[in-house]
Amino acid sequence: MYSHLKCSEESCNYFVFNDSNKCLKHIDNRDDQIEKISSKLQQEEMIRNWNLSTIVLNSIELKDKMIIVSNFSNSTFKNIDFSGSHILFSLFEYSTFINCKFNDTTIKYTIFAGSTFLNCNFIDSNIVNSNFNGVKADDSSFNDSDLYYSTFISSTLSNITFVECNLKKTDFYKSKRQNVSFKYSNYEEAFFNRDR
Amino acid sequence: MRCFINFSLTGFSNCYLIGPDDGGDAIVIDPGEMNIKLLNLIENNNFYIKHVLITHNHKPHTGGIRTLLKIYDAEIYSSSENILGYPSNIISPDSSLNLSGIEVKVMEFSGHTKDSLVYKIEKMLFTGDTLGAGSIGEEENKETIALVSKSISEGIKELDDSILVFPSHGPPSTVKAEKDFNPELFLQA
Repeated sequence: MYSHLKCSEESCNYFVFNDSNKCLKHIDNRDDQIEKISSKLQQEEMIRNWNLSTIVLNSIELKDKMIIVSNFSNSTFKNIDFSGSHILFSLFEYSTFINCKFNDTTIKYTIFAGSTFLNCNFIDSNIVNSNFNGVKADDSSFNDSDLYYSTFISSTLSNITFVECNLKKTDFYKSKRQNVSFKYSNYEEAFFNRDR
Repeated sequence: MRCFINFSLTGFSNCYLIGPDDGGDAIVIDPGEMNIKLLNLIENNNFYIKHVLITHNHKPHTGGIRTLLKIYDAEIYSSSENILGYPSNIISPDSSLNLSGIEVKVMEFSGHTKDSLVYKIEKMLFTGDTLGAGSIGEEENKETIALVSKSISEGIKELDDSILVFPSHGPPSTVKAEKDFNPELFLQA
């Protein structure tokens, strides 16, 4: 599992960057480090136990990767293509995703809670047992995806399509939805209220 | 230390496997089903199941024990005297266990069932049915919900935000995400 050590900078609460003692915000030669890690991310097929909390990635392809037990919390992703990747047991909470593609991905037991998605696509994907609680999503699509047991509790969803999705046990409790389409999906098997 | 999740179709529950990086004596939490996937996870990581932790005595959390104990000589730990007729070491809240070198802190957030326990291992919190991602366990009425949510809220208030929450049903979460987005915490009667 990735390290849970916190940055040695006073009052910084972010996780340390891989094997260093500081987070990516406070590490020396930050830009060089990000460039190095960005190129390493593109080269490696298996990304396991990496700790890249607070990373900023722009316009790179992360297609067909295995991303396992890795920490990308509080990060920013612009124009990133994760298509064809397997993302398992990883942490992407409180991150920002702009123009990102997750098409044909398998995402299991992964946490996106508190993140923002703008113009992102999760088309034809298996997104199972994953946590989207509290996310703010706009102009994004989950079409043709299996969202079994994933949660969107307390989320704010605008202009989102869930067309032809499996929504069995998908939980939308207390979500705010504006212009959200569930066309051809089994939304009656999703949860929108608590029967108490 | 490594942690694996195995999804069981019995009760649609998560079972957790925790063991050392290089193999050895390991812990299983809530084995709702002993299936081939769990067996492969154990064997392929060179684990030997020495300890079984039960969050509460319901079948989706215990159903695999009979088969598990035929394969491994493991001790059960729970708040009950026995689980499916097998003797269990009774453990109480606010105690600690050292299971083959792995420190387990036993906690209780009253709720779901009277025998519910929560286990903290390093930065991981195994919450059973007491706390899920954005939810709390099923309760009978609004008054009970309010009491349980108060108890859970107080329980997690002091915990570090980065602690990972692993419930028995549904996706994982973090303490921070539960504090921020779980609409069932801090309810009033």
